Amino acid sequence: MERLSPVPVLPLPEINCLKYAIELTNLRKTFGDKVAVTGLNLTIKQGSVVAFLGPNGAGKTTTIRMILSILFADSGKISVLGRPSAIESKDRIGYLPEERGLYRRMKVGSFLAYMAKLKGVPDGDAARRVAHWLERVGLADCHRKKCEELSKGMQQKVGFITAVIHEPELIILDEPFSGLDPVNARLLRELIDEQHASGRTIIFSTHVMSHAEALCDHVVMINRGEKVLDEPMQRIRSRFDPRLILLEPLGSDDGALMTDSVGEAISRLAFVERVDRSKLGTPEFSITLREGSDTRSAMVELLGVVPTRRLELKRVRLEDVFIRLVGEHGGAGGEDGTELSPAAAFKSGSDEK
Amino acid sequence: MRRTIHVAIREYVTTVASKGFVFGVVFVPLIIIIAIFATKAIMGSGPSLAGTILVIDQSSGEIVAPLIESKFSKESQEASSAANAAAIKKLASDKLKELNLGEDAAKALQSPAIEAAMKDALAGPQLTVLRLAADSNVESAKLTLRLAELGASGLENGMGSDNAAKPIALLVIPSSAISPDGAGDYSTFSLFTIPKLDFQIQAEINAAAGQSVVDARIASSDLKNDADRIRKMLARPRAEVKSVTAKGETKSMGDAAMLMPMAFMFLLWISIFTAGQYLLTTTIEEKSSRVMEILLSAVSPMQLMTGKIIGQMGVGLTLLLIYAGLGVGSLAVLNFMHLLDYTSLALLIVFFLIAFLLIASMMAAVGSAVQDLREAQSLMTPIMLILMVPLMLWMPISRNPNGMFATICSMLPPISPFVMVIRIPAAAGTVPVPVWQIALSIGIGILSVLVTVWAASKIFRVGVLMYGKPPNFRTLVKWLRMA
Repeated sequence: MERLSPVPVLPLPEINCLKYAIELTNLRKTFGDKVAVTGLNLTIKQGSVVAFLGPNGAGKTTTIRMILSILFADSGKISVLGRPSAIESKDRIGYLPEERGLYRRMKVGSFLAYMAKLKGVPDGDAARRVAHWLERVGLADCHRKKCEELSKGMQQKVGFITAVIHEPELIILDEPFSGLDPVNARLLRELIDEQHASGRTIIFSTHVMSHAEALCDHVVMINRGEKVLDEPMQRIRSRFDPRLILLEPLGSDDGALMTDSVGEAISRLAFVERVDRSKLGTPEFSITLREGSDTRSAMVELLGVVPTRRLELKRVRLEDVFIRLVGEHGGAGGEDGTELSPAAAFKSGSDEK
Repeated sequence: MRRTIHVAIREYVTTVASKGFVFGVVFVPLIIIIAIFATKAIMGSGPSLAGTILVIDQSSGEIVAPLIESKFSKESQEASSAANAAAIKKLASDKLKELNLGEDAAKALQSPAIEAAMKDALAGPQLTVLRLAADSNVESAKLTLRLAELGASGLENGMGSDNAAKPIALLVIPSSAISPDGAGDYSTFSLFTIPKLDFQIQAEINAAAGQSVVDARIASSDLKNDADRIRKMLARPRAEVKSVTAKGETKSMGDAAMLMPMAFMFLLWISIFTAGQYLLTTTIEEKSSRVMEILLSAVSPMQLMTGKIIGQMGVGLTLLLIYAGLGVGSLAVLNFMHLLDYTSLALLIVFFLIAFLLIASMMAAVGSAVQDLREAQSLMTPIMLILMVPLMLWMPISRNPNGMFATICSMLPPISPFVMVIRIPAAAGTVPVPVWQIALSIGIGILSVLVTVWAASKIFRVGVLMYGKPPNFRTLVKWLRMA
């Protein structure tokens, strides 16, 4: 295939005229007598990367579909890129749906060119962009292959190209990492970072919290159609104060006997709720503090009790926040969706999905 | 609009470029043409059957049997086929004169090749007559037939004897068939045949025997000297039908008048059915391959549906133009162009558009609601029923194109375009369909198109993202109100 000059990821020309890329006011959607989204209020700042989290059936996909005017809200107001409906600004939005597939018999190159043209890329420019993007995601030799010949991960990357090929201002990715191997997941993260660096607003939903932590600067979490968290990543870290301290005792090579006595010493401290010892590798204690205890004095005290090689106050993980929040609200089945909330039960039924 | 056009172009190109379409458009007509010629060839030659007719003539003096024998003699059979050939040739040359094909065509008809072909084609079965004694037992003669049948099955095993000698029929002519009873009435004769004897041969034997009996009756009566006169008097005349119109007398179109409406309706039907089917399958494919939501990120459901319908309309029009072009071309070659008028052709296109949009939007709605063709079956049934109605109606409507029934049917939305394309050419030869009726039908058609497209777009919008249990008709109605 001939080499074409790559398309640089251009910074957006008019980015400051809007403060919010998306504003949802009191958004509500029901399917029959089942409520999918209840009075959702949400604003998403221009240029931010937002992780959109929630258990299965929480209403994420429904909300995203409403933002994109694929579904229509029963009540409430939507403003997308300053317009009341995404239909008027479809060319400025990139969307990778959760239910993604390709025309099985169409060639990858012509499918992407078709999607590009549908999204307003000028006819002359489409071929160049397709070639550039296929090369960027490492599928340059798939240009003439039929879509059905691609593996799932490859199809996913082709799907991602359809979301960004028209250089949209707002990119919405529904479960972009599902089904990708670590190499491709990293590639996708790089691509998302790249898009973010050029000033685009990105919203993505995921069940893999580590992806969310690595990428986003803002987290929105919904459960049963209601918003339960809407905060910048940094504030989440400080608000959900950590209560886990990792401790690696000094001279732990001496044997099990010594580590046993260290563990006992720690567990006698007043602020310690629980001590877990790692079974494998270097001996390490995870110390869970009692609620309300002062982290800083606890660390000082620990240093006094045990000769320490390493002492670490564990950062709060999004996963813990997720489980805590969803748990607090009655739990909608968590990530694996074994226990279904009404909304989740509904989703697996005939209507929404 | 730009997006709709892109969708339409893709829809059209992928459909028309598919192997299935090329095969359907090129090969199906080819197969039909071959089938027509093949049937003709088979029909023309007739069953090449040889066999013996047994005759038991009980009449006094056995006067019937010789007559029958002469009817089936070689000379007589050749003569009759020659007479048929001559009659056909005369008919053909008369038609040719009517069509002003010129001298060349008439000469071509006289060519020896055509004559030979005709003689071959008209050669009848090789039948011989075997007279049995007048006092032969009828039952034992029947037994011969039965044995002959068994012999026939033996024949296949290579045990059979001479085919030509095989008895195939038994004629029993009682004396009362020739000599009248006291009241002057004649009785009839009996004909027994082996099972499954070709109906044409049966008819031939029956006719020959009947004629022979009549001839024998005349010959044995006191009118025997006037036999020729009686025959001439009994020959039943037939008139050539002419219709009287404002423009003058024209030969009644007869069969052709029936054929044009049928051709029109089938053109419409096939192009709409094919394109509609394609629309259904491509919609289902988009849904089941989950490419639908990616598409919906770029176009609205309405744009997608409109684009798809326009694209498939192009497919249907392509089919219509190819077939209509073939039809018009062959009419031109056969010099039948007077059967066609251009207004009907133009109206055919108009009614195509109406009928297509009606059927296609229903197909799109069904396609959007289901995940595979199997699920589509139950929802397709009503649409298929609607499509079957015109096929059943073409006969009564083309026979009475301006009757109350035809008029009402041509105003009833889902079938009105089909009925109208039957009515217009059917009525063209006599009283044309009133212009106001055509206009009204088009008006009703457009209105119903608007309603159907509206409803279909509502169902489509909900349906395209629904996965799971296949919907029934009631769910579709629910979606109509929901969206």
